[in-house]
Amino acid sequence: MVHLVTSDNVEFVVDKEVVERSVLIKNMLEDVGETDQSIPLANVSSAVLRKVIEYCEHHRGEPLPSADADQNQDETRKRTTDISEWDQKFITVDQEMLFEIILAANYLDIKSLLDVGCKTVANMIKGKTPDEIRRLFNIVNDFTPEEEAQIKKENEWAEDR
Amino acid sequence: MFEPRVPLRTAVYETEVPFCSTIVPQKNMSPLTETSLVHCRAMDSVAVVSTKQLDTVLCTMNFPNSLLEMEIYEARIALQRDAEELLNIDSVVDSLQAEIEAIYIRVAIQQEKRRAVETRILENKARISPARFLPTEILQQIFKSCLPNDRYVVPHIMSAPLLLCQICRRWRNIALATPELWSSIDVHDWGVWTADFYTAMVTRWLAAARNRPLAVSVMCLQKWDWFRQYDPTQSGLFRLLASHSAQFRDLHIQASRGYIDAFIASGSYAVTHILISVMPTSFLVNSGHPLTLGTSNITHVALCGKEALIKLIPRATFPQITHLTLDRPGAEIDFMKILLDFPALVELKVKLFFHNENLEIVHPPPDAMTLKHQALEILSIYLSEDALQFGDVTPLARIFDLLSLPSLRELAFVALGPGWEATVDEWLPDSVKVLFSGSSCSAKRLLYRNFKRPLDMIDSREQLRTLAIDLRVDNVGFGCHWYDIVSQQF
Repeated sequence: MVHLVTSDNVEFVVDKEVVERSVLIKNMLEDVGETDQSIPLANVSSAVLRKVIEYCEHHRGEPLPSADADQNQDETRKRTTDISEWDQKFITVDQEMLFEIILAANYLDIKSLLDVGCKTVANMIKGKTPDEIRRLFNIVNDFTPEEEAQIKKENEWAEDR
Repeated sequence: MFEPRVPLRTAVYETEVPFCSTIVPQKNMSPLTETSLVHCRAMDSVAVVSTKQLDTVLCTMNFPNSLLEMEIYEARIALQRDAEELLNIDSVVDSLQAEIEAIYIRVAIQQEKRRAVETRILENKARISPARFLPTEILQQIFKSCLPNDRYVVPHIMSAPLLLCQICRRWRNIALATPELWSSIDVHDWGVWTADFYTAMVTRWLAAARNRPLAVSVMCLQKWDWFRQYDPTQSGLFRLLASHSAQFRDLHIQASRGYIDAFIASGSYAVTHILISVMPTSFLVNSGHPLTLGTSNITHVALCGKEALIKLIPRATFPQITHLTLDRPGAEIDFMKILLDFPALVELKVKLFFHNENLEIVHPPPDAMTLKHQALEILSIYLSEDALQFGDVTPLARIFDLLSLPSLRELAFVALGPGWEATVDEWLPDSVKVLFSGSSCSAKRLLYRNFKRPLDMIDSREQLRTLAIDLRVDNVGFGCHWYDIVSQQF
């Protein structure tokens, strides 16, 4: 079992096989060997780690994506945003939690979880207008009038279609 | 709350009984009954006055002597009273309208304040928005997932990557600095009608791809060719594409022979995947001799159209080609030669046509030897409507008998239309079993798409299962376009 301590000082005891879906922790454990010492996760809160562990538990035993998988994916331009039913349900959380999970997956180096998070955000973006996207993610339109004019000019070709 | 305060200018009189009834003289009663009460109403206040008070108000006390005079008198009184009431109402309406205008102004001021507060809220929400704290590399990954699933991205301002450039400065900068977002494009050449700003958009697109390998689809329909009374290389879009040809890794070109010849001649290519679809006729002059694509890395080839000659592909690359699709009406398919010429072929897809009462395939000579092809894993045979209606499997069976395919794991027959009444029984020769028996694959699949199930499906399936062959028959309910045939292999 592995002891993990979150940023809000909550300790989790997790099965090694589960927690090793995180490449970061896997490498740590390989470096230090068997230990009872807790691993501090300063960038992950207990609420987020609980979700991450839930994900890792569900995907326990599945093969980890290889290092060149991303490269292959890029080569074949496989951009499907299909997400399994369980993952979809798992990632149905509020926006703040969604981004926290993405950041945690990135920090802990859990590629499959990072993919699910990124695809979920991508699905939220798809089919929306720029204004709708700004409202959805609380993004300020910080283009200057000149930049706005430039964008409008760049998009002129579409008016002809 | 707004409560109108209206000065009492005049009294509005009203008897408890209808006024006309009170003026009828009766015995022991004065014309205006002493006991009758008159209500004096001014908007929301009511005063009750006696007839004596009324006399005072009326100033003149010349009571009429006749009924007519009385009526005239009363009418005058009523007119005067109503005129005064009207003035009073107008005054109240004016006052209310002034109030309404004042309220409108106050609402506008509050709305303006609201907008300012909303802006501040949005700005402050943006400052703490989780999206703001996403590192660039994560945002890049999200952006890549935003790309359409199409093999070649059709530019559209409401989809990635162009959409992402319109959100905010950070997103725009990151999108433009992520070449992977721009490494695929579907371009249409409208001949002389290709607008300059369309070419400018493609220029920006390809520039953002930097040195990334490109997947490009170029389509120039025949109808646009007709208006091109000049060499296609004079087109800005054509030259732009040619100047990036060295980056093309995956090229789909659908155009006339003349256009394709000019395209091949104008660029230098290092494509690994190529899909050439030649339109049947052209108003452009053909080069006469088919050109050969100058590329050495090619592994995936799809040729569609009668004039899509195999000579377009450099012969030296044949041994490295792993995927080949041929959809060439009017050209006979020589299975034996194909397998000899392409020893590395893993997947072969051919579309069969029917001509002169025969399937358009080259029949092997009677003394033909068995041909062993070590690499072929998937053989798909697409059948045109004529081939299904009038052809039969016999010549194919003869070829199957001559083949040894130790790696074969899938053989597929695909009817291109779902309602062509294709039946498995007619296209399941014993040679299929022989062909599979030479394969060392543990799992083999025999697929019939858009076919009707055989009458004894269970029996057929069981028989094949003993040979480790999984028989599958489906009717997907839709036809297969030639593009589907070729695109699946890429």
